[in-house]
Parts: sequence; structure tokens; C-alpha cells
Amino acid sequence: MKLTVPYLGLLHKAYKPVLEKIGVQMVLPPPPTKRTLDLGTKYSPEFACLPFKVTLGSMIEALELGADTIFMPGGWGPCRFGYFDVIQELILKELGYHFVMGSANNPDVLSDMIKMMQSISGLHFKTQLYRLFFFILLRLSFLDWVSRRYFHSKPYEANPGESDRIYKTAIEMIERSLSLKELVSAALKISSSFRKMKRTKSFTPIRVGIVGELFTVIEPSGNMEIDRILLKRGVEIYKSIWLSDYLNDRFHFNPFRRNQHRIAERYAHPFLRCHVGGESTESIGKTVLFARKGLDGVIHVFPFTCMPELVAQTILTKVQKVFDLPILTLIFDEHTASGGVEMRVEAFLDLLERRKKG
Amino acid sequence: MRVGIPRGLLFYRYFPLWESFFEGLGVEVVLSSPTTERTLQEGSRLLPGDLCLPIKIFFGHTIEIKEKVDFLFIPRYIRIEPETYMCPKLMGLPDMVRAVLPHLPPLIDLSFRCKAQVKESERSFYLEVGKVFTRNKDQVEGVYQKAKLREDRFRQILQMGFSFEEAIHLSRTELPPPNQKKIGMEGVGVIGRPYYLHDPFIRTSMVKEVEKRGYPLLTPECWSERGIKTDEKSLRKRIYWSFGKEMVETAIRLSESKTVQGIILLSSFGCGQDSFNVEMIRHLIKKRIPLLSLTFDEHLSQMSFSTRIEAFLELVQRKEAKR
Repeated sequence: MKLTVPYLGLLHKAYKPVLEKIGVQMVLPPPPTKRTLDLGTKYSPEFACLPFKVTLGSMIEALELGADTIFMPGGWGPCRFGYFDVIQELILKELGYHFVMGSANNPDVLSDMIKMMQSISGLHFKTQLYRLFFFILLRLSFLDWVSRRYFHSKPYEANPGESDRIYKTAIEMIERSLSLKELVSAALKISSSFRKMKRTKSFTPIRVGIVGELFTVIEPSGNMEIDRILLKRGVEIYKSIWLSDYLNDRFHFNPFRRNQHRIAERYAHPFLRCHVGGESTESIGKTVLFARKGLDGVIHVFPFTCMPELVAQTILTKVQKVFDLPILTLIFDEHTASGGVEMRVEAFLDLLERRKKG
Repeated sequence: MRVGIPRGLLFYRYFPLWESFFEGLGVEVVLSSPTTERTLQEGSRLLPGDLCLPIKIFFGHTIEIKEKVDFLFIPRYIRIEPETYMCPKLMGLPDMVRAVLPHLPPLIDLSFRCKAQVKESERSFYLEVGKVFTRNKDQVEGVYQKAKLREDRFRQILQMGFSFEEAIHLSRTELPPPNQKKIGMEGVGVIGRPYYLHDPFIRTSMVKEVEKRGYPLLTPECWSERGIKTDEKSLRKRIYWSFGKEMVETAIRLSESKTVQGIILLSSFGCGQDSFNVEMIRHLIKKRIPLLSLTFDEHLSQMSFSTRIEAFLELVQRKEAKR
């Protein structure tokens, strides 16, 4: 069995070393490029969303490299994500590829995820499987924690490039840690190196929140590397959703992190009284939270034809007025050019700067 | 007391029930006028451009009546049958209306979430709605039962092949529905959501083209029995969208019947669910029957459809001649 899983943010760094250690053969396609997207677009339904197209492209690239098992989590939400695996399997089988599509029937339920882990890893004992699964989740939450630390220290660094170096080594350290003990000691080291980093005093950067659909918020190929554009301009980034939080809301593996969905729900309630699927509640709730925190602006990102985020976009027009908060909406599809995104983001940042001055 | 019902979206499924329910309670029902170009323009002025056409039309209707009524009836339909979902846009509809439109009367935005006991959950939903107007539970109960009868009559008449407007009109009378069927089960099947197929603005551009050439139209509502299990038909997963399920089931049924000559699939530009539904239908009917997929948007014109429908019907004819 040669397993492949499409890219989603830092997820591959969390599971790959762990699964390889217990003898699972993994084939990771190259990080998504223009070719990936072109391949995905060519074979997808016209109005399928960008995450569908990118993941389909990644699957084709992995199959070309010899993968024979694909894992794609399913779901039962009102969002289209639950059908990704079904439709992608139809399309790929029609193209003549031979493979097995593995999917957790209901990824919100722990027992289904454990069954999925069993089919992937070939382990027999339940305790081993639970330990493996939660260890991967923990690694993921450490990776996300490092990213958050990085976002909140990069704008303040006194020596340009220092936080980038720390971030890079930190990610590598966590990738190498294959036991809980190693993980904790790595985290302590990382924490101290972030603390020791020299900071410029008396400086307030522009603070921008990124809200929107999960894939677009966290996967660089889904948002034209918007993080990089913002960090380059010295902006402090707050994200509405992290993959580890998303999973933590379901599996509660991290006792030190609150249920983020519940927080978002509370803040979103005056505007949206029912969760309409996807990350709509997070988008609205976290925008309200960011406005209360005094952030300078919010960027709302989502793929073209994303149903829950369209509802959120409509409602955010009201949030924008109520809190007097600038919101930039960026909609991504296969025709989005990185130059165009960069230009719009920079214009938005100029606006925020001017507002801040006076 | 006047309650306003915008002529859009689920109006095209539940209106007879809503109308007789409110009238039974002694509440005057204010309807917006049928969709025109102006309705669409009014609606799309305030909304983000990427929303689909039916939502924009719905907002146009709401704008038209919102200042003439004491209540707006915009319920939140989350699931209309067990274990399915509506479109997220319908689930968030009252919130969207509240966020976008100023000077609104109070909304009746109760949630309808169908549980395993379909009849019971529907009954309790309408009892809740009735509470807004009266404390007399027995009255509401009686009115609801009557309204339910009206809906059954309406469905029967639709299945005979009468149009939506005719069915509403005919179901108003207590008389038993006309006996003869207007159509037999042959012709060209049109599959789409009720709010595409019955909206005169969307409908005229397409339906006339087909009917002009002597093909009767069959909509999903013409088919009385449902109950094809889609997962038994080689899909790995049952479909969790109410209208998606209805569309796919109808498509399978049409493609298996010997009398239907072709299927036209109607979907809205940028519709997230239909992008997948069309793909599934295409896969499931396996070229057994000619299939035309039409996508419409704000700029729908008769001309653009007529060429494609003409070509499609010619194909259908040629296939028929070969048989």
C-alpha cells in the first residue's frame, strides 16, 4: 500500500513521520503548483470549488508517482466537502486510475476515525490506534502553536529574518519529535527561543484578521500565499480557524485550548442564529471578536461558489457597518492571479495605515 | 393582521399549505407580484454579486412587500426530510434578510428541522407558527389539518401535469380534482429545483421552447412515487441534500422509464450543490438517455436557450426515429 493524502496546511508534517515510523509507505505529491490546479480544473465540474480542484490535482500527481491508496475525509454537513471523495473517485476511475479511496464515513466521530487509522496503519490494538491518532493530533496542535507564535513575533523582530529562522528550525524540530517527551522538550526550547528573540519596542504593527473557509485560510496554494504577502509588509496576522482547533472542537485532545467553535458561536449569535455549515459561524463570530479586540481590518477569503461563506459574506456587510471595521473579501478560483491578489491586499493595507494614522 | 410571503424559493413548494394555514387563522396573506426583470434588479442591488439568481429574486420580492405587512414569513428550513440538509443559503436566509434589508417588520423565522417522525415534526412546527397569532391551540390544530388536506390536493393536481399556477387555483376549491390527466408520462423531463421550474421569470425562457415543439414537460413533481435509494445505485454515499436527492432520484427514474425521451437539467450559475448533482446524474444515468445541462444566470435570454434546446430536441427526435 502506498498512501497519499492531499495537502492541507501543515497536516502532512504532522502525520508523515509518525506513519512512516510504523512502516506505512507514503507518497506525497509535490506541493500544489499551477500544474496541480490545471490538472484539477481540467477534470472537475465547472462550478466545483477550488479546494476540490486543488485536491483532485494533487491526487492525480500522487497517482502518477505510484500511489495506490488515497485518503480523503468525508462528512455529512450541508457543505460540499462530504462528497469530495465520492465525486473525486468517480472522476479518477473514469480517467482509468486504479486505486482504493479510503474515507472516514463520519469524520466527526472518534470511532470512525480510529477505524480509518486502523485501515491505514494495519495496527490491531485499539489502545495503539488511539495513541497514534491522538499523537498526530497533538503534533498538529504544536505545529499550529508554532505558526501562531511566529505570526505574533515576526512583525516585532529587531533583526530582520530572525523569527523566520526560529520558525523554520521549530517546524523541523517538531517534525523530528516522535514521542511525547521529545515533543514537549522541543516545545520548551522553541518557546524560549521565541522569548529570547530581540524585539523592537514601542511599535504597533497593523493587525489583520484572516477569516473564511478552512482550506483557503490555512493552505497556501488555496489563498495565493496571502500570509507571505502580509508578513512581508510587517502585518500581524490573526486567523479565525486552525486545523488543530477544528479537530480539537471535535475530539477534545488538548485540554489547554477552549472550544473555538463555541466561542465563535457566541459572538456570531446576534448576526447568525444557526450554523449553516462550513466555517460560516467562525467567519462571522471571529470577525466580531477581532473587531472587539481592536484589530485594524479583516480579510475574508473563500473559494468561488462556496455556499456557507456566501451567507457569511452577505452577513459580514452588516458586521462591517456595526463595528466600523474594514473588510476585504477575496474570492479565489482557478483564474485568480497572485499579482491581482497582492495588489488588492496592498491597497487594503494602505487604507488601514491611513485610517490608523488619523 | 397581515403576513407577507415573498414569492420565491420555498414559496414554490409550500405556498398552498402556508396560504390556507394563515387564512384559516384569520390572517391576511400578502403576496408579492410574480417575478419580473425589476424584481431581480431590486434584489441584486444590495447583495454580493456571487449569490445565485433565486436568492436575488427572493430579496427582490421581500423588498417589494416588506413595508406593507405586519409580519414577514421567512421560516428557516434546515431539513425538509430526515437526515438531509437544505442549501446553506436557505438555512441562513432569515439572517441574510436581517443583515441586508433595512426597515423590516418582525420576521417569523422559526426553524424547521425534520426529525425521523416527519408528520409530527411538521405539525409541531406549524403549531409554533400558530402561537404567534393565537393562543387557541385547538384552532391552530384544526386549521393545520385543513391546510394539510389542501396541500395533498395540490400535489395530486401537480402530478396530473397542471402548471403551478393552475394547481394553486384548482386546489382552492373543495371539489375533487379534475379526473382526466393532462399529460401521459411521455415527453421530455425537466429536472431542477422547484424554485427554478415554477418561477415564471426563469421558466418562460425555457419551457416555452420545449412546449412549442410539442413535447410535454415532466417536472420532478409529476412523479408520485419516490423512494429510489440512491446508494443502492452504485453511489457510495446517500445524498444529503433534499433537493439534490430529489433531482438524482428523478433522473434515475426518468432514465429507466421507456417513455421519456430526454432529460433537461436546469441549474443556476454558481450553484454549489448542482455542480455535484449534475456530475452524479451524468454518472448514474450512463448515457441511457439524451441529457442537456443548462445553466442560467441574471442575463438569461430566450435566444440563448432556444438554440441549444432546439439542437437537443433534434437529437431526441433522431434517436426516436432510429428506434
